[in-house]
Amino acid sequence: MTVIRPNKIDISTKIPENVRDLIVSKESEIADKIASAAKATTLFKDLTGRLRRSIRVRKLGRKNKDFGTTDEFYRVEAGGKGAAHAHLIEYGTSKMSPRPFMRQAKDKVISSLRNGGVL
Amino acid sequence: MGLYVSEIYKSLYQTYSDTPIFRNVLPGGLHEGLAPEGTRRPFANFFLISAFPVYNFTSVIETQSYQIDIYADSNVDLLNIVDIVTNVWDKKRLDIVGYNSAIMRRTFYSIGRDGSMDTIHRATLEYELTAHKQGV
Repeated sequence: MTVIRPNKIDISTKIPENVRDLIVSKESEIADKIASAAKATTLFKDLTGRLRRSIRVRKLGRKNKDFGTTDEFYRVEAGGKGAAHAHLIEYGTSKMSPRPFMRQAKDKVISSLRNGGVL
Repeated sequence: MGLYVSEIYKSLYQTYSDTPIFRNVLPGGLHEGLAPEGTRRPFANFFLISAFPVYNFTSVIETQSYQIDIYADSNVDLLNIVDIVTNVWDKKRLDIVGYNSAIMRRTFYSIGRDGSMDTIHRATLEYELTAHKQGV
């Protein structure tokens, strides 16, 4: 969830707290591959397992006004309840290097698709 | 035909070290990974997020994503630095040993706060570096 406090721009208002909206795919298979790659990361230890468990694929729909249909797409998310620190891990802080598990997972899948001639 | 990653880093860092306005605006320096504890602000860190090659029959294109974090004590300083950094790096063409051409493109930016009391002003920029190499 994004919280905007008056007279203050919080990092979470710009960097997505749930590390979502970074990765959107029209293909559920691609979204699943990205989520699997993110879960398999060794970039963080995740002692409780909550962050790893929070990585998920969500099916969403967007109304297409021109055709009167609903376009389906899939979003890969991490964070939320129990793993609210996801964005701190992904983007790092002034005292901790980023551990970009979501962006690396996305690029890993894109790389394999491009070199496999799919994209 | 190697990756020449040290040449890529060298070229990227040179854009900072060879540009006086860029250097002067960051007295704390530009650090790869994480700046040492106690580094004087403003300073910046850059970090390789991911890198992958795309092959075809005669050439290879390396795509690298970098995250650049700028830390400052005031919003005015921060915005000034962001302007200078983006002026230098946006669509910057780099000369990298081993590559025919290379260009940097900004793909993301955000401005916010950091630190335990949110007292540090922070900007995050993301750049995609595309480097083309003929002959594989």
